[in-house]
Amino acid sequence: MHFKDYDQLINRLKQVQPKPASPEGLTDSIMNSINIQKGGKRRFIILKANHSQWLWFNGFRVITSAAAIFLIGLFLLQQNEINSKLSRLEDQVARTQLPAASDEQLVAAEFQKVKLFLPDSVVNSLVDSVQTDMLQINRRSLNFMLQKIQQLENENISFREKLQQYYTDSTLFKPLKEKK
Amino acid sequence: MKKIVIRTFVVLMAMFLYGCPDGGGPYQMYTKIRSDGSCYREFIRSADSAFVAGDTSRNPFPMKIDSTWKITYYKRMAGDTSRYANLPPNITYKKDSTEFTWFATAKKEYASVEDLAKSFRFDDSKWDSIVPDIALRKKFRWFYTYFEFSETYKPVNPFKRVPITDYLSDKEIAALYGEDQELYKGKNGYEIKSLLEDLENKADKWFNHSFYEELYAIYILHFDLFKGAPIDADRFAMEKDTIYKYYFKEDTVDMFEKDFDEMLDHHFHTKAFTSASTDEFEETMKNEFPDFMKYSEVELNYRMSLPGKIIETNAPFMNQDTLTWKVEENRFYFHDYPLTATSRKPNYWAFVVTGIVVILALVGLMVRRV
Repeated sequence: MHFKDYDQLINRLKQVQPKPASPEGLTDSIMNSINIQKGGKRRFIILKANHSQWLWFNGFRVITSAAAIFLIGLFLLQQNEINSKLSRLEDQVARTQLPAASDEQLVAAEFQKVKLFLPDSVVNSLVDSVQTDMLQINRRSLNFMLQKIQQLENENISFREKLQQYYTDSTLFKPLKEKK
Repeated sequence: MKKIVIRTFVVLMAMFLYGCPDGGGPYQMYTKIRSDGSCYREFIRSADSAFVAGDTSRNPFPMKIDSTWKITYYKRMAGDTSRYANLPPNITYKKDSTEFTWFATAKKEYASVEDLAKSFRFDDSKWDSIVPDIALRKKFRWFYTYFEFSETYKPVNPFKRVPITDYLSDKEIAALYGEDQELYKGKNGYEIKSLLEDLENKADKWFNHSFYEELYAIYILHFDLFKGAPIDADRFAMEKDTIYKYYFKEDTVDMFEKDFDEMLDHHFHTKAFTSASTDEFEETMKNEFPDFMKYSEVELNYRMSLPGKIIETNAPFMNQDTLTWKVEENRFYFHDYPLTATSRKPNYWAFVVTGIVVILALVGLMVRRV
């Protein structure tokens, strides 16, 4: 009796056909198991989800992928644009060679380097100071110079030659010397 | 009239020799723009002791000082290495054989660049009528925020009767009066010198012609002063071009050597013009003749900083992220002189968000369904 029941149960089980829980995912699960066996490492994250959940996830996946591609593209584009602008800027802008130089020193570097010597002793005492890298002249000396210029104009004498009598300036002196 | 002309020539020569006619050198102007759009403007200039003592009539700055400007003073001694070390002094004082110079700094905060554009004026200088267009545009571009700054000085040429384009092309103007170096390409020093001399001659011709046209226009306007002239005002006006061609053409220096009244007397066979040349008429001429030298007394060494890194500018000098321009009337005599700069500041949060999105996308691609 005991064996009869057992045989009946076995026969009934033999008549039942096996049904996979997810027929469409069968191939994937087989391939997954093959990959796991091959590499020995699990390279994918397995998500247990029904059909609608999977659809939502797929949508999210598409959006994040598109956003990532767009943002990486935007970043590369901006970097490329910035690099080209910076290289243009390097060619265009004069940079100071002195790393410790302040902005004022940079501005001062623009000034014309002239030494001013007025032979007239009265005028000479009016000059504020004479430095090698800067021209300094007070108002009275400037007025004196302007008067002399006006005088030269009126006398119609060679401007440069006569002016040299009042002050020696390397930029004026050289051409005259060569001429002589 | 000759007096005015000679005086003008002398001033022009002085400008050529000395560059800046004012004793304290160029105005040191600094503008700092912050990332929230607010900004401040600062001036540094050598001051006399009276101003330091509180005499505002000795204001060394190009704008009127009021309570919104914060003024500080600095006494520069010999051997100074501070930011004031290389600034040109106006007056040097001496006490116990020690020389020193006073420097004043005026600083004003603005809520925005629009506020700066609306309220800032060079109203205590010859530039009182110069109103630069100042604008700041902030552009959000995800990874970076871009700051586009521009300050444009409008043309000040008062001579409108003869277009400068009859004598110089736009490129030639940019080379002679501006900082454009395109015309110098492929030329050595001597060739550049020759080119500039040629441009200078053309500019002189334009100046002469403009000067003549303006002068003649005033003479036409006040023709009734020339009693006993053998012609009427209409005939006088018609003779304008003939006189210019006969007396001035191709000779750029003549304008400064000829006495205009004597020349008119000679042309019309009269003494009416020299007879009318009184001090009163001279004064009228001075008042009505365009003040073409008005703006030359001011010069700015303009420094500016924008938030972030500078990526584009037309400034000729840059030290770290501080830009420097030289602003004086020649540069905006005929055309706009725009000072432009663009900087970019990174938005770090945008980098973090992008990182998260990229990680999510990568993780999403790795997910498989059971």
